Amino acid sequence: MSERDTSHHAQQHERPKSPSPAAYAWVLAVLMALLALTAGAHYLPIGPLGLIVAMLIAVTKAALVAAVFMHLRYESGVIRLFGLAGVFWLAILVCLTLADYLTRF
Amino acid sequence: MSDTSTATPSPPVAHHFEDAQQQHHAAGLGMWTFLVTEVLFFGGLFTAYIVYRMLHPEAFAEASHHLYRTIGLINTAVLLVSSFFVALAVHAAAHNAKRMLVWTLSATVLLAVVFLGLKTLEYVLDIHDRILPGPLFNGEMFTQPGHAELFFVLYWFMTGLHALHVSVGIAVLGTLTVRAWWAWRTGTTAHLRNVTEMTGLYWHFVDIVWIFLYPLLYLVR
Repeated sequence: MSERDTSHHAQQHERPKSPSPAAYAWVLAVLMALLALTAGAHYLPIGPLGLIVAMLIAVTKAALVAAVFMHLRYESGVIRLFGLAGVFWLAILVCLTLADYLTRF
Repeated sequence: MSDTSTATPSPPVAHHFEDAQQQHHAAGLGMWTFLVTEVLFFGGLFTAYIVYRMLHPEAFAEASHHLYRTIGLINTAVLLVSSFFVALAVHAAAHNAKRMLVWTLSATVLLAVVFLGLKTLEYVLDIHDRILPGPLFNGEMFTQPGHAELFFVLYWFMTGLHALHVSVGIAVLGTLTVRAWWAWRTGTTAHLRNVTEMTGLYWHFVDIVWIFLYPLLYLVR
């Protein structure tokens, strides 16, 4: 492999769009704020809405970790597809199970 | 970092790969495939949780109040910070910042050990509180003892499977830390780039599982 080829590959491999340590620090700050929000919202008198709020926050936190920490935001289409496949198959598992339990009278 | 060399050396390429980029893609795709199977591994327990919470909401809320909410909160924070450190480690490995790699990996291992230590303390307190399902279980504390016990079965299995993953993480991250330290002493850490990134993905997954476990187990009302 020629010198030019090596540097070309190294450059491609670098993927300049991957996040900086400063971006990671920001994401951590947001994650901590969301955690405080989850813990705090538990004591609000919002009844069954509390579960929806807690789950929305958890999904947001998981999405942040996956997108930035796990680089999913910057990955190729096929790896994003694999990531989404996990969510999709989990949805099938939950939905079909509930389709049974929720229709038993 | 001061120890970042200006020209980042390329990682070594195994003979069955065309180049470093293909090797990196193959590793990433393999790791994500494994993580999808892990999502479904935990998914079975989450599905069971959803069904039984739906059937017995009051019993689950009552049982959840017997867990140590503060330990759960601290442990969530510990894992989030550890995820941040392993993300920095991946950054350090990609830029051949050797000292940063060793320190960020060490911090991750330390936080993982803190998590497991707090979880062990919590388990001891739980057993003392007699909320371990089985012969030690004290049903008299609950209005629906059987359904409360069901909640604790899910609590022990879900946190137990998660703790097993944390233990594996400590072993893998610990080995990697030693390798990174040795590589720092002897030269380049370029060959640790892929393994650091894949270990990082695993550790972030463990973090994500706990992000859901914390509100589902500790914050039921």
